[in-house]
Amino acid sequence: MHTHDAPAVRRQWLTDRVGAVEDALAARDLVDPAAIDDIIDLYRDRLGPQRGAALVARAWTDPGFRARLLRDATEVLTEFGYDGRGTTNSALPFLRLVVVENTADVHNLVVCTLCSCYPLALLGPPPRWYKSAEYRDRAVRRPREVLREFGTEIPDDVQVRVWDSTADCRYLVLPQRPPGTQGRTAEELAALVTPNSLIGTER
Amino acid sequence: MDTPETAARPAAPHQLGGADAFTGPVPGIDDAERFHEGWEARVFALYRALTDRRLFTTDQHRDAVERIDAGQYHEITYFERWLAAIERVVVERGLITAEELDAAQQRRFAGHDDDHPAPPHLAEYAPQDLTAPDTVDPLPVGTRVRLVDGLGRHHRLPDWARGRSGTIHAVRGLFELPDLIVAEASEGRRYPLYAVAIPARAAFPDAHPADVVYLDAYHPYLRQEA
Repeated sequence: MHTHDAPAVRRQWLTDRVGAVEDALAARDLVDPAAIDDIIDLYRDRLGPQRGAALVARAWTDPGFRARLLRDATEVLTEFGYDGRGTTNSALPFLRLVVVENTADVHNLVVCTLCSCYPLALLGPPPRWYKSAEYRDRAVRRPREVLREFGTEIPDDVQVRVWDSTADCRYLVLPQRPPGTQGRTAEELAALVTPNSLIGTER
Repeated sequence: MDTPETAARPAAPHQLGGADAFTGPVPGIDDAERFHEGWEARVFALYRALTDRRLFTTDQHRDAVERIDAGQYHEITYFERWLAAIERVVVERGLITAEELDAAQQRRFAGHDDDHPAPPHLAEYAPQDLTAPDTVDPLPVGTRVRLVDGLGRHHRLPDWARGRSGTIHAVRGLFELPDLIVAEASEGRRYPLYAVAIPARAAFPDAHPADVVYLDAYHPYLRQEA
């Protein structure tokens, strides 16, 4: 009998269960383990907040692009082939993206109170806090309190709009362009966009 | 006032929005890692692979997550829920048999002679007899509406919105109804999906008076108000 600490035993048990369901499906040719490896690579490395940041930076520098993004973000993504770089996954057709814009008077915050709906075909999987029971419970009811925990104080005269994205659409926040950034390139601006600002936990 | 449409249902473990049940600080604010264990990435990718091939749908998987024993739902991690739901759905959908899964598990477990904890318990899939209109007249932006529960066990109306009134802010398009997808009664019928604006104070009396909560809700979840 081996001696293991409890977390290691649990990890092995869960790893074995995942392996087993994959084995049984692979035996019936319903999954391809190489395709699973590719999907992990896609969602861990090729998708990510950098893609949302690039959209935001372009919207900051191109008013026509910004207007179209706010009008129909799904169409913009399709037209611009948001992923022309080797993504074999069919995630894009299922991304119905809605972009909501922060202004001097409005701050937007995204949550899914029923599970964890998130624009993962663009940003990759959600971070741990987004999936937590605390965020799902409190973001819809006490958004200003939650924002304060992220270091974001919303002034009393700014309206908070919370988007509970429980259905087929996924939401991305277009933050305000930081002051004093005139003349910067879209690449330089994209580096200023934080992952949390794309969901609204930062302003 | 409660009507049959808005009468309270038993609390479901996934109905967390505004429940004031998890009042502690949001955990992991500075944690940028998306997967904390190798198996988590693998179970996520397995889900993507199976749904991309239409072997089951997001709603069928979510429905299985929602059937996890209410006492266990919050005792296990997010991706443990996903794993338990996949194990259940692939057997329920007839992709593999329970015997095949069990045999594959015994082969994997064979090298590790630890005592295994009991996996989470999920309620059995129960067929539902749902009726839904074939066609509906879409409601225009600006319509005053009241939100009611969906048709089936797996519906997408959060408890916090039940019985609340709001205004249609946008029409998002036509989509199949998750309630009917899970009941295998969708038959390709699609219904308008609206973004409904609800003044935060109308949902939560202690909310900031200026704030607004927006909810995406399918046509059958709305009743037009005078």
